[in-house]
Parts: sequence; structure tokens; C-alpha cells
Amino acid sequence: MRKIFGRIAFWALVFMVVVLSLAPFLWFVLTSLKSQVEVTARPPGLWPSGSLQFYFSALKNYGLMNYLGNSLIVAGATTVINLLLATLAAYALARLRLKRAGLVMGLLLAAAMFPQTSLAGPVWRILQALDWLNSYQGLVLPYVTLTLPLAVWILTSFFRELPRDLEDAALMDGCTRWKLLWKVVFPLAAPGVFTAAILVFIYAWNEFFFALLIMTRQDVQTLPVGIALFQGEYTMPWGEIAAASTVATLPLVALVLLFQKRIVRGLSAGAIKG
Amino acid sequence: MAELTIANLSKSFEGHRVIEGISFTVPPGGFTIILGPSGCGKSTLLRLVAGLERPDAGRILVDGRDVTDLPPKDRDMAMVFQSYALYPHLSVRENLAFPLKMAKLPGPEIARRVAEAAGLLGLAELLDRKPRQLSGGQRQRVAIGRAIVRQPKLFLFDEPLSNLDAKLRAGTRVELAQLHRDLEATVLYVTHDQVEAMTLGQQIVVLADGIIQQIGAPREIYQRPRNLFVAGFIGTPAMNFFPGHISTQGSEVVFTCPEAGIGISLPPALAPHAGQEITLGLRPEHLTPGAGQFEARLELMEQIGAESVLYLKQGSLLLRARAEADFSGRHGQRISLYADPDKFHYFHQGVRIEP
Repeated sequence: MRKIFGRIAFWALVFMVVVLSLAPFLWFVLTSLKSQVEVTARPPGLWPSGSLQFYFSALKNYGLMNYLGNSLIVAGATTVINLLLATLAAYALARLRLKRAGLVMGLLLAAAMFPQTSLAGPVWRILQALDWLNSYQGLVLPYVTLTLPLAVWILTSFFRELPRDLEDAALMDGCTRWKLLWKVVFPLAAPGVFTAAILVFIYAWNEFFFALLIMTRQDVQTLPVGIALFQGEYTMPWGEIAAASTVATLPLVALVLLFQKRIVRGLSAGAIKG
Repeated sequence: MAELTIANLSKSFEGHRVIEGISFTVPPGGFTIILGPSGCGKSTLLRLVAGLERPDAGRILVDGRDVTDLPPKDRDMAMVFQSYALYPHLSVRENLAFPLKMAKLPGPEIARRVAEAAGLLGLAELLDRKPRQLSGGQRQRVAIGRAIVRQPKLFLFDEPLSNLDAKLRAGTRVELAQLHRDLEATVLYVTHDQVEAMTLGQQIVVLADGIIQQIGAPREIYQRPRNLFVAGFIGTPAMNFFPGHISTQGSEVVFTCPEAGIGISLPPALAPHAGQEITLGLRPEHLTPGAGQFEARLELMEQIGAESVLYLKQGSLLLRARAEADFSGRHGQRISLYADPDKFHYFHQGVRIEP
């Protein structure tokens, strides 16, 4: 009896958490599939008619493809550059006999602690001096900087877990250090690399504050900023915003579902052996 | 087949000396064992030879060529690790092929050598499995296979049998000896297991506290240990030690051990050492029950099939003796012991002296 009650309570709790976290998502997905009449209906109906009108409108009238392209470029470049730097730094911190590796790790963490608002001014001035405002690299540079500590921490803990004998074996088998990284260390640290890559990608994809600050020209703006600026002086195009938000969210959902197993393994690395 | 020469090798980690002034030669096709207790520096020595560590001083030569400053990949050596160190993301076939791919051998040649090694080690059925799907003994074979496909100048083994269970270990030991004979390879092999050392080695280097205690053939090391450490380390059960001194009584030379309260007459050749503090060593198999020089009280008896090991007490000394399998004795019984004077070892200030 008690067991059954416990089960019911458990699933009720799970259901609540799922509903609470998915409800907003569900709402704008449903909204995006409504027609103009349904969006403004009072009281609002739950089920949409399945019209794709807002998607066409977002694409045609609001330049959704432009924002999507910009976001892909910025988030993609951020992820690639970040991982190139982070894997090398993390491997060095994890393996080479560096004195004060702990201090470097601590400083990295400290650097990640600064509130964004305190960085905004200096970052803007630097980018202005470089003439990088309204450029992709102008956004990628601060993104890489801000996400590097996270990636380095994740990857360092992963590299530390790899048995040292494996690397020695690879060296004996004729690898150079670079080959060893490429052939043995990276494949084995793949869950960590995936975890870091996805977290960095999500950050860059969703980031709003710097994107708004640095990208003032519409043709280089990313999705979050673009969507926020759908709103005109006298209009609030709810349908198009919902459609664009769905388009912006789907790649992340697909990415996470696709690599779910690897991410879970990545996030729990070091918690248990094996 | 290659000759390995190690000259005056030293290494310390953060001011702590690990090995110092190590010199020896492994002849072409030789099987040399580095034997020592854990922490004696034997693994460090192997890693130095492999090129995984850099020495503070000394040279390493292969066939007379100085390889001390070369990276591991340019030394033409293969190593088998205690943990096997198989690549978990690669199949057995890919594991075996890995060193050949690194050496950029042509594909057909790689396939031929992998098949050959797999046949030799009985791995043909397992080629498409991943390491995690293999038993300990099979992983061991793959690790050995990965070393032999390269046909390297020198094989390095780092305690390769210590993760196997006792039965498998005995079997693999025999196979390793066979493999060494078939491949005519030069081998440097690290272990803390003296049975492995005695059965596999043609030459044993006994290492303790980072310095060489003795180099020699297994039999020589067993029969003529150069110092007290080697005498006590080699042999199971361990050698008996009687600390005492030598004196002359008329024409007779007598050894007195106050701790055991016994006196034994020694060969006259030891007369020049009269007045010296001496440790007399005697292996358990040369201390047997029977009409002899002294008595001791039986504390414990271990029957191990073909024979029995007796643990006895005399004065404050604990002694080990060997007896026939059918020997019977009671706890606390006093037993007369015969110590074979021809088999005595003598050590003065820890170093062997010959009468």
C-alpha cells in the first residue's frame, strides 16, 4: 500500500516538474501554429488549427533566415574555437607536470565569476578600438572568452580520468604527442568534448545581452536579439515571435536528444569509476 | 635481436632519488629481469629505457647507438603494461594494427602481421571484439600481441602477470618463456615476483633503494647472494639469519649467537675472521630436523604437499626449517635441528664474505 502511494507521489512529482518546465515551450509552439484570429481570440483557445501562416510570415517579413544564419555562424564559430583552445589547455593542465596548475584553474574560475554588466563597457570599448562592432568576430571573441573556463574545467576533469598507461602505450606504439591527442585522448574523452561543445553552443545560441550591445545592425544580429526586435512601435506580432522562437529552440532540442547519453555521461564524469 | 646497454643511469623526482648509478647490459636475445620490492625504482628504470622519462644522468645504448635523447617512437622498443593499456575504443584487430599504422606500413602487410600475431597467441576468434569484452588473460594476450607485431629490437615488460590469477599466471609464464625462445627477442622484464624472476630470467638485476644489489644468473643469486638484502629477499621461506661473532678456541673456530644461545663450530678457513661480528645465513632447506647442533621449539607447521615448513623459536630468534611431508610434531615440542655447515652464508657488515 505504502509502496503504491510512494509510486503515485513520485510520478505526480515528475509530472509536475515536466509540466512546469515544458509549459512555456508548449505554449509558444502551439501559438506558432495558430492563425491570426486564434492568437487574438478571447478567451484564448488551447488547440491551434495547425496553420503555418506565422512561419511564412516570420521568414518573409521578419528576415528569420538572416538571424538563423547569423546565429549558426556565431555559435558554431564560438564552439569550434572554444574547443580548440579548451582541449589543448585542459590537456596541459591535466597532464603535463605544470606547477600551480591548481592556481591556473582557480583563476579561470574566478574569471568566469565577473557579472556580465561589469564586463560590458570594457568589452564594447575594446571591440570599438578593433573596429569589430557589428562583426561576427566581435561577438565570437567575448563568447569564447566567457565560455572558455567552463569548457576547460569540464575537459580537464575528463582528461584526468584517462589512464596514463594508455598514453604511454600510444607513445611506445609510435605516436607523437599530437597524434596521441588525436588518436587516443580525444576519442576517449569524446563524452567530455560533446558535453563541453553542447554547453558552449547553447550559451552562444541563447546569449542576448552582448549580442544586443555589439550587434546594432540588423543584418548581423543573432536570433535572440532579432526576435526581441520583431516588436514594432505599434505592433506585437505574437504569432511570428512564437514561430521564430520554435525555430530557434528546435536545433537545441534535437542536439540534446541526439547526444543525451553522452551528455549524461559527461556531466557525471568522475562521480563513479568506470 | 639487439643489445641493450645501460650506463650510470640516475633519476630523481623533486629532489627524491629514485635510482642512482645503474649500469648493466642485456645481451642480444637475452632475458633480463629487474627484481625488487615495490618502490625500489624498477618501474622508473624501465620507463627511462622506454623513453617515457628522461634521466638526470647516464646513457642508454641499443646496439651501441645512443638513444638517450630520442623520443619513445624512435627507439624501436615495445612495452607491455601491467594494466595492459589496450585502447578501449578500438577492436582487438585495431589494437594490434595500431603500432603498424603509426609506422605507416602498407595495408596488406599490416593485415598479414596482425593475422600472424593473432594466430600465434590464439586471438583469431577475438579480432572483432572490444577490450572490455575480453577476460583478463585474453587482454594480456592482446597486449603481448600489440608488442610483437612490431618486431621491435627490444621488449619491455612492466609486471605483465601481476593482474592475472595464480593459475593463469603460471601458464602465461611458461608461454612467455616459449615466446621468447621462438622470437629470439631481447627482453627487459620488471617484476617483484621472485618466482617469475627465477623461472624466466637468464640474468637477474636485484634492485633496492634505487641501487643495484646484485646482478647474476638466477642460480648464482640464490646460491651466492652478495649481501644481506639479496639473501633475505630471494627465497621462500626466507633465509634464517643468526647474528653473532666468531672466536677461536684452540684450533677450533666457533660461531656464537647470543640471541639464540647457541654455538656452532665452523670450518677452519674462517679463522682470519675471528673477533668479527658476523651474520650467519642458512636457507630453510639446509636446516632440517635430525641429530644436530641445537634444539628449537616448534611454533607452527605448514604442510605444503611435497614438504612441510616448520616455524621454530630458539631464544629470541624465529627460525624456518624444512621437513619431509610426513614429519609430525606437536606445538611446543623441542626439536633437534641439523644445520648443514657446507651451506652456511657469512656476512660481515651486511656484505658476503667467502671463507
